Amino acid sequence: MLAGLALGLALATPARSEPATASGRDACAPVRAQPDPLPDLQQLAEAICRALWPDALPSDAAERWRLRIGGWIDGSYRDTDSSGGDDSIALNHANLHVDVRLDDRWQLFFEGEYEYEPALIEESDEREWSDERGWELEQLYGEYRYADFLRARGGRFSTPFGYWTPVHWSINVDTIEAPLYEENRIVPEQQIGLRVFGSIFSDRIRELQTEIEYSLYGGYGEDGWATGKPDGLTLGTDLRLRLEDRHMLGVSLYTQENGDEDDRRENNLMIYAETRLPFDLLLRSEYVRQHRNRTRPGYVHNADLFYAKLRWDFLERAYLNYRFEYGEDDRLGETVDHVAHRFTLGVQPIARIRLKAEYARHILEEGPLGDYDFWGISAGLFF
Amino acid sequence: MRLRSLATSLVLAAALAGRAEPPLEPIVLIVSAEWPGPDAIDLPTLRRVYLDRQGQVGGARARALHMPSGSPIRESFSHTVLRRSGARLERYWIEQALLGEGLPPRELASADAVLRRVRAAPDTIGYVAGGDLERLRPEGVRILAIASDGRALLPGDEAYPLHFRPVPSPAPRGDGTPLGKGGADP
Repeated sequence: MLAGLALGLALATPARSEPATASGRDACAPVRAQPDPLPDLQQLAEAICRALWPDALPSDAAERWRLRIGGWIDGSYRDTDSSGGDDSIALNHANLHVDVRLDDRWQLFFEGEYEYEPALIEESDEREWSDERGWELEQLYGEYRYADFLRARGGRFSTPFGYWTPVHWSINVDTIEAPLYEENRIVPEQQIGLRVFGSIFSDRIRELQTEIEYSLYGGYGEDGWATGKPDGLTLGTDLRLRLEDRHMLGVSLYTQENGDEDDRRENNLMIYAETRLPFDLLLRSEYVRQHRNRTRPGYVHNADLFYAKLRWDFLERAYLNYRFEYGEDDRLGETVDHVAHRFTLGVQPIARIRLKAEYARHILEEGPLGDYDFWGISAGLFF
Repeated sequence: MRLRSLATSLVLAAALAGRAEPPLEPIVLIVSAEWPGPDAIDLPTLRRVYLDRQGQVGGARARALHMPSGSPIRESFSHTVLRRSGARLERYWIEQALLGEGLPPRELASADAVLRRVRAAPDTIGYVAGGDLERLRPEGVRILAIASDGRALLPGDEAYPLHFRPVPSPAPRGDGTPLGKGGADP
């Protein structure tokens, strides 16, 4: 049969007369990985595509055009026995994102989000849950892809700093509460500026399949730009090494002047690693050090924050996650050593539904405030 | 003695069951005859192309095409090449959507459609069953070998890694196929 197959190709004859290009209708097929019974926004994307590319049009451009519209919502019930803490039930996020591929090289991306994420803060020596909520422009950028090793992205984009920050969406991560370095907003979630990045692939390092991802970026922020703390120029870089699609090691650097802290200079170093282990275990750790050139009384010059987590996918669609966190926490009126042990059970009946139940023990080793427990459940849906 | 007869029965049952299964068929990678890329691709590179993490192979642009979701050939291809469970793969694509990164490969309805698309778009990579390739005898496409340990493996080579077990078509009544042996019975 195989000899015939090779011969068939060598002596190939046309099977039938066919159009040289596929139809525009094919090109508008929804961008889905796996079908499931729930409706999603890809039907809207499909309708837009059909309006833009009538069937009669030659399809080469239509084939390269792709539109992905998506969104998600999540809500949670949270409780704590912390002084000043209270239970809350809330819609935490409603997110919409639109990804347009104009062709193989050009991309436009938009992401907007309603956000209400209760966080423990201290006001006038009393702890309470913050109550900030509202709509935010998360990302809006254009990208040009020259090649895999060279891409450029301009606009408002997620900060490529470590593992968590670029993939920070609450519905997407393993836990309900974020790690301490994220809760402390050590670096802004987004930048307004330019990012140059790419990937280089090789199997020449000890014959291991190797992928090196790099990122260089610079931004600018000031009051009214909704960029968080930065005042003036920001600069950062991120370098990741992936081996055999199982192991990852990365380092990030980032510097900014913090407008909320009298324009002090903050230099950040992040080292992070991840490895997939036997028995469906995954181990990940991130360590951040932030150096400040000046601080207010009671705060440290060098803040260290760290977490290590072990996730066990004990079923195809269910996992257990334990995370140990340590950090010099600045949210409580002074720098306080903060340790947390966090246990999360995650269930995904289908990939687009995310359910989580979480318990965390918070230990504040210094300062006048006591330890506390956190319980929460959350539910999220991608659409 | 009873153990021996039990073992003999198991071996016989296994042999009969094995005979009932259709033979493995190669999954053949195809590209346009005009594709300027290499003659062979290794599985990790192929995986990255299908996960849309790599858009060029040997300096040539490469866009992946999939067979229909749930088809035996796609399941086998995903199992061997992508090395991710279905649930993990779904999570991967959702995260890619949030990141504004990779898009799932375009999905086409049949081997015929894949062959036509590959021929029409010289930067696409697809896969079809060896039998379909032989049956359709397309022009303007070529087989892409799989690179492994310095060798370029073609379908039929002993070490060729991509195969699947096709689901047999329902046999017409009265063809002598014993009930329960053709895979078409409920």
